[in-house]
Amino acid sequence: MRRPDLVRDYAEDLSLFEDRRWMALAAFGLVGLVVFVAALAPDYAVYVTTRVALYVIAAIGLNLLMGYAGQISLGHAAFLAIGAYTHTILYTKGAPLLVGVLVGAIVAGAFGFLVGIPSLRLEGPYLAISTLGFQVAVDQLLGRWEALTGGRMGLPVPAPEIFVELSPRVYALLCIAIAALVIVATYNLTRSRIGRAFVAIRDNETAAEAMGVDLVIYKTMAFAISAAITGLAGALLVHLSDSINPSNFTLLDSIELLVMIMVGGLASILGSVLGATLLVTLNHTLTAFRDYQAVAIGTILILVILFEPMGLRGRWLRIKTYFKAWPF
Amino acid sequence: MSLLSAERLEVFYNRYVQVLRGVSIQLEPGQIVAVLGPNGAGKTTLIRTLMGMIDDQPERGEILLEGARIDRLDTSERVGRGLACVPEGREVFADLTVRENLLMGGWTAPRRDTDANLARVFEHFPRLEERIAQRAGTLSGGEQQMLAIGRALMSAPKVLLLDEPSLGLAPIVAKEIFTILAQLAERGIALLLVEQNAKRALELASYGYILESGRVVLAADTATLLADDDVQEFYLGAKQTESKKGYQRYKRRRRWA
Repeated sequence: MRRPDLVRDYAEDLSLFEDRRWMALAAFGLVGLVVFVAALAPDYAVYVTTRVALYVIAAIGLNLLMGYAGQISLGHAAFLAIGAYTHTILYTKGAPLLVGVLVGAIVAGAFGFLVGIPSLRLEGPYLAISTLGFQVAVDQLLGRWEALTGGRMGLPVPAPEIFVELSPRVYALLCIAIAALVIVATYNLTRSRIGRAFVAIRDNETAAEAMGVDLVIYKTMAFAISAAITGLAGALLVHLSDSINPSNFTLLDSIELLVMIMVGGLASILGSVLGATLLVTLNHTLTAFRDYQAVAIGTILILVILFEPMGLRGRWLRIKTYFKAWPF
Repeated sequence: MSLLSAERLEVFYNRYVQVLRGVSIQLEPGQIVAVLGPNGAGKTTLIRTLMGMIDDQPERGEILLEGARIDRLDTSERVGRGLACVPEGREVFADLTVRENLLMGGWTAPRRDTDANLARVFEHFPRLEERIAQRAGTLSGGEQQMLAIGRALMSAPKVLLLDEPSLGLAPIVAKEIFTILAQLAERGIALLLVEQNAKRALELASYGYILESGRVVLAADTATLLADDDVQEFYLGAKQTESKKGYQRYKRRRRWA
């Protein structure tokens, strides 16, 4: 079942899963994770696992934009914030949880589309600055618009509820399920016509245009999809505490997302998963270092990038190649 | 009525720098037309203008494809109508595989034709089929050029614009590419060939334009061009003015300039 060597026609390009063996392995891992969360894990581990699942979603969102479409963004925490606030406001007013989450993602996607418009003229550092401006603007707006957002004090978040109130364990399972869906969906997106257009734009904008790819549509689409996925993560993130405020979504959080995909591996769904897992886990486990926790995390990240410039995914590729070529 | 014709194109960069000064060209189905000229004459600008890749240009003049005006259409719409180009320096998508590059080329073509288009490209370039799963960035220069041409063919174009397809290739590889270009013309595709290698281009083409400083200074069938004294001296390097008083004169005024 090795691909893409054996692709014979266009229909095979459209199949949902390209390799059954890896799919089996992933399903096995997923079942293990579900059992772990549902029965075995202590409460704190459940909390950390939920965060990991949600940051996996957010990192995938950013990686679609930066890794695949090659457009830089320093403002992705703003999309987290938009998803989070939209959902919280709707949910407080009585909308069902999943509807609020979905609308949060859609609103974030709409803002992503708007932020994508400057990318038609700007690139590299200049685009970075324009997205940075968006991040700062959203941060200020959330802090000042007290009637809607509660200002710097933030908003209280009601407990998650779908017909019955969800315990943290059940909520964790919900988040894992959504993360799994996002992984399958985005993985297939990257293999599709749209995904190829993103990579083509990244590799060579001129040639992509000469092939007939409409840059206006596909660049703004990359921003919109990326922002919507990140907004989805933001909306689900609110139920991990009982209130949200603008300080949860600052420039530092944008940069943390950036670090996740750089450490995990650009232009790779697996890389996003590995990067988000590593960073969130580090943030919540190295507490023994107390004041020096930030130093310890920084050191680990520098070492990873130093020894594995392609990110954690590079290590995985090497392991895979080793076994494929075994015994040589 | 020609398949593709451009009438008195005038193109400016940044509103002040005029690059094309009234260029007119015609292209018939199955015809190979060569465009020759020194650096900076506007050859690449001509191709980019025909493809619609320079914003808000041409300033004046019109481009007709099968009698319909296309000079205000987006590049993607022009590709849909049967125009394709092989950009200078190949410009393949380095991180996509050969197969994915070709699929990108078929962007505007109906999806049910994808397999047939792939088969047609592999018929011309069997080498690409051998390397179908390889990343395009790891191909050799000649293979990348083949991929760039194959990619352009995936949209089943009526007119193919080629910007220096022999650039940086070994003579033997360039020869192979030119043989394939001749085959494409036999299938009825019109080729507009911009080349520095004047000799090879004129051997392949049936008609040629000489472009200098944004003007067409000479347009004739290739037999006439090959016989022209100035073309021989400045583009083919074949003939030199006879020596007078025993020493060689290397510079002579071009009659058309």
